[in-house]
Order: sequence, then structure tokens, then C-alpha cells
Amino acid sequence: MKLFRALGSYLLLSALAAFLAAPFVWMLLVSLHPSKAPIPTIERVVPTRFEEGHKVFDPHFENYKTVLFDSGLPVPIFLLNTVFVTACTVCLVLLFTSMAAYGLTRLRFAGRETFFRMFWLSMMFVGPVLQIPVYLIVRSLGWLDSYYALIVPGASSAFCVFLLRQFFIQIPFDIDEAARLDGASEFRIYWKLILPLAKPALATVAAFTFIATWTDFFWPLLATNSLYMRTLEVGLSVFKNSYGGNNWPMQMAATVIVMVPVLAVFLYAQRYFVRGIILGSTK
Amino acid sequence: MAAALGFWLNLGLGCVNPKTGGKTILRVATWGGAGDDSEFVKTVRRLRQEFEKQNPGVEVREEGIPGPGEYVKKLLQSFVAGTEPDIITLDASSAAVFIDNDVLLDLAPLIAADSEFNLNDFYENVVDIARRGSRLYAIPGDFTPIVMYYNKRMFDDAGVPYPKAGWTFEDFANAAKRLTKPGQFGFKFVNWMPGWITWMWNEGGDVLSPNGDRAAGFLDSERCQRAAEFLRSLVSVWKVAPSLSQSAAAGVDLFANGQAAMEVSGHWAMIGYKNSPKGPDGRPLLRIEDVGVAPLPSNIGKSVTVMYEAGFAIGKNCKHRELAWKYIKFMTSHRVQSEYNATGIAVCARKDVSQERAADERERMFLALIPTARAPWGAKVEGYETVERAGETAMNAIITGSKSAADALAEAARKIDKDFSRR
Repeated sequence: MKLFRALGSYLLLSALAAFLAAPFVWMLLVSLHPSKAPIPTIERVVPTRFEEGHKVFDPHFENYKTVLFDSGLPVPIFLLNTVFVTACTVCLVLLFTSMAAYGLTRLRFAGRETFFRMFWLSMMFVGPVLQIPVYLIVRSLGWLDSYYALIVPGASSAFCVFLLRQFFIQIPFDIDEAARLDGASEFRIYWKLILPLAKPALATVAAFTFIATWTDFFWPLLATNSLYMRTLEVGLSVFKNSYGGNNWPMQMAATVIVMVPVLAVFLYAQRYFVRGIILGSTK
Repeated sequence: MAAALGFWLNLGLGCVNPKTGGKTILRVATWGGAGDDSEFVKTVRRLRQEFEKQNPGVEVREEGIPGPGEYVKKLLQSFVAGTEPDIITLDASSAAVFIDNDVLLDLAPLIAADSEFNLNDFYENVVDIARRGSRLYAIPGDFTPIVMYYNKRMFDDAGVPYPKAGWTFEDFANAAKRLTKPGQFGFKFVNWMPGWITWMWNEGGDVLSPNGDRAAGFLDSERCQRAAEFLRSLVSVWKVAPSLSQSAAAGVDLFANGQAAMEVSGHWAMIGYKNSPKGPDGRPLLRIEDVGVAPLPSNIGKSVTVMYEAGFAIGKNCKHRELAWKYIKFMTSHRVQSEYNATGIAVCARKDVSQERAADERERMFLALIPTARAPWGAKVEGYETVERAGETAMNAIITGSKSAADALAEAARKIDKDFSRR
């Protein structure tokens, strides 16, 4: 009976996993069809060709080479830009939001709760409302079309401060007291004690920020003008609307190139995502 | 890590104040560019470099903005912030929002003061797209009337005579029925309003009142209903065109893939036809010599079409006004336009260049349609995208049969008028 139940749940979960993975598998297979091929029907989704009367697997890996090096676009520069911007944003978000969360939980000062509520309130505004003011600020600083414009506006996040604060509250306050008695400075407590204990929450923040920055489209489009400042998401979007109709295999190859790092991070950090959602829902 | 960061700081963050090296930068906004048409991209790049050579100390910086929706959003935002490019490639379909918000420079005084430039070199109705009274906000580069493409080989195989001027909706439907067989549709229909609005015009209707401020009484008129009913019959009754989901599932242009005998599109489609994918026998699925061009069928005695155009405009606060004007003159000159249009992207707005290309039968057909081509509504009505959104939602309901043409179009007209009244 137990065996049947286990078998049943495995079968059900496998079917569900296959259902959810199907679009990704489809994307991979279509990206290996010859350039400009129509969207294949389900029985032709695996790229094949006939050789002596037999169907043989015929993947067109050159699509990836074309997207990366022969598209007339500096795709390797897009990739470097995206890696650089994402890495800087993740590091800065970790630093700033953890310091803010530390201040809002471990330090006692007048108006602390008001400060926290202000952070909390800023989460109520949707992105487009803030876009024009942020754009105007970035312009008046002379940062348009630069890495500053791509990195600095995303270098802090009220959501991440909120998330870390929820975690920091759970770390026993006795630790700080003990450290203070031993003469540790506030920064030392933050850096040497709290941060190492908050690794799971920091990983959650890093993973959320990574995915949000890597896949952001509209802000990099607004903030940059020259081709060499484009990120992957913006730079490769021309494959969607080039003249002469859609080239699905190329478009899917471009999508795979954008998606693979995100997928890798997600698979590696998925438990932190789950943890992040739980953290956000308590207190 | 520190070394790497230092490298990037020097390399990239230095862009904050771009080193112009004493050069004057002329910023030109365009939409996207052709991702997989390297010939077109190369030609444009070469022409730009030629302008730079003729004007030492000048760098033309092209700013490609991908995505038609994003193009307008990004440019509007940059006008608000005062960071707009010097030259804007103005798309006729969204020209009104720029012209009517007074962000573009009136080019009429520049034209009047320049003896080298003659506006009569251009087709008058194409120039008029960006005209408001005596003011002119863009010089047209190229454009395309929307036409009916047909596959001559399929017509020959089915023994159907080629379409010719004066054909009606009924002639068209009869041809489409005879051209439909397993694996082949007579016509390719997509729910794209810039393409199907002409069916309403050719039935004697229109989607908005003549001054463009009202949809009720127009979009929901009997004539527009008849045109919509006709399109529904093509897909759902006679089944000579693929259903909307069949089109979407194919993901490609069925005409370019040799699976449909006719389609309505613009000149840009020819680039796709020339690069038609190859079949298992290694031959293209559509041979360019099989492509014929015909006027749209009409029930009002005269075929009317729409033209989509790209012009060059200068921002009102442009700092390099003279240089920008020089660039526009260069780009719209006879020689440059001859090279540019040799890529096959569109029809040149200059009469001389278009006439030179008229030796080609297909090109000649396009030229014959120019006098009856109308500017798109978006060149006249700001926020026209609301009409297109409502129109496509209604057409979806009509084609799939979930609503009658009368109900769907009346609902769309109410929605549009409600949106217009909020402005």
C-alpha cells in the first residue's frame, strides 16, 4: 500500500514536472532547427533530416554561433555588460540593504519605526510611477547612457530591506550584547556576527536581485542609447521584430542565451527563493 | 577583483561624460534595425560613414530603439527630460503624438531658405503626412502602400487569372476559394488592424469621423460591419484563410512559406520573400519571380490603400540644427536614396528614385497605388493605439464567432469614444 502511494505520488510529480519543463525543452529544440524554419508541429519538434531513408537527429548548433558572433550586433559586449551590471547591483544591494536592515533592527534611535514604515510604504508604488522621476534624477546627474544609470537606481530595494529585517529580528539580541561587552564596534558586530548568521537571507536577496536585474528590459532601454551600453535583454530583442518576419530558431537561440544563467541561478538558489517567500509572509 | 573593477571603472564608467574627442555628435534615433538582414544594415552603416567623411569632425551616432511600442515611450520620456536625439525617424503611424505636442522643429523655414532643396522632388501626399497647415515637421524618406501580394505559380496551377485593378471583394473571395486546397490557403489573414483597416475603407466605411474625434457612427457603421463580416466568412465560413490560432501556431508568414496564395502587406515583406526558407529539395518555398503585386479589392469602384512612412524630423531644441538639416538633405538626396532603396526595404518618397526603379513590374505596381494611398490615422490622431487595441479585440471576437460584427464593433466604438473623452 505504502509502495503504491509512493509510486502514485512519484508518477504525479513526474507528470507535473514534465508539463512544467515542456516549454523549456520546446525552446531548446526549436533553437536547433534550421534558421527561418516555421514553428514545428509537435511530431516534428525534434530537428531531423533524412539520410538514406532514415531520420537522423540534425541539430543546428550554428544558430548559437550566429546569434553570438555573426548577427551584426556586439552580442559578447551585451553579455559582458549584463554580467557586470548584475554583479555590481547584487553586491551593492547586499551591502546597502543589509546595513539598512541592521540599523532598523539592532540600533535604537528615535523614529526607527517611522523609518521602517517609510521603507514599507515605498513598496506600495509600482515601477512606472517612479520611472520618470528616476529618469530625471539620473539625467540631472549626467549619468544617462552609462553604467551608473544601469547600476545605481537598482542598488537598493525596499523589498530586500524588509526581507532582511524580518530575518535579523529572529537573530537573538544576546549575541550583540555579548559582543558589545567584549568591546566590539557596531560595524564589527554587523560584519562579523550578523552577516555570517544571515547567509540564507542574503542568498535569497542575492537571487531575487540577480534575476530582476538580469531580466530587466525597460529601464536599460530607457537609460542607455548607444549600442555598446545595451544589456542582453535589450540588445537581443531585435531578433523579435526584425524585418522579414519572425525567425523563430534564432529568436529561441537568443532566448536560451539570456535564460541559461537565470535558470542556473534559480536551480542553485531555489531553496532560498522558497525561504524568501516564507520570510516575507511572517511577522 | 579590485583590478577587474578598476578596469571596468576606467572603461565603462568613463562613459558618464562621453569623450567626444572634440567631435560633434549627431544623435539619430531609429527603430531597431534589421536583425537578420545584414545587407540593409551594411548599406545604412556605409552611408552614415560617408556623411562623416564629408563632414570632418562629425560623428553620427545611431540610437536603435527596439520594439515599436517602446520607441514612442522612450522618445516621449527623453523629450520630457530634454535628452532627446537630434534627429528622430518619425513613423507615420505614431507621428501625431510628436507633432501635436510641439516637440519637433518646423522645417518649412529651413526649406524656404535652402535653394539646394526642392520639396517638389517628393510625392505630395507622402509629404503631407507630417504637414499641419503651412508647417512641415518631417521630410519623408521612404514609405509603402499596403498591397495584395499573390503567388503567380499557385494562380497558374489553379487556372485562376491574376488579380487586376478593379477587382471586387467577390472576385477576391472566388479566387481564394479556388486557390484553397489541402496544405494551401487561398489567403493569409492576421488580426493586425493596420493591415485590415483597408477592407473597411474599400467597403466605403471608416473607423473614425473625418476629424478623427469619434468612432461611434463610423467603426460600427453598416459598411464596416459588412467588411468585418466578409473577413469572418473568409476564415470561418469558406475557410479560405487560416484561423487565428492556426496562423499563430505556424509562427511564420504562410505566404513566404508557400502555404498561402495571397496576403496583404507592405513593401518590407519583399525582404522576407527574397529570403524565403528552403524546402526539403533545397529550393526556396517561394520564388521571388512568382510574387505578384495587385491593388486591394474594392467594392466602391476605386481601390483605396493606406501608406506607412518613415520621415526625418528634428527635435525642437536641437543644438546642431544646421548639421541636422544637412544630414536630412544628405539622407533624402537622389544618390543616397538610390542606394538605400536598392536594399528593397520600401518605396522611395522621391519621385525620381522611384521612377528609376519602375522598370521592375512589382515596383511599378506600387507606384500606381500612390495617388490613392491615405496617411494612417496615427499620423493625425494622437493616442490612436487605443483604436487599434479596441479594433483588434473586436475583430478577434468577430472572427472566432463569439460576437456578431454589429455588437463587437459597437462595443469597440463605445470604448474608443470613452477613451477619447478622457483626453
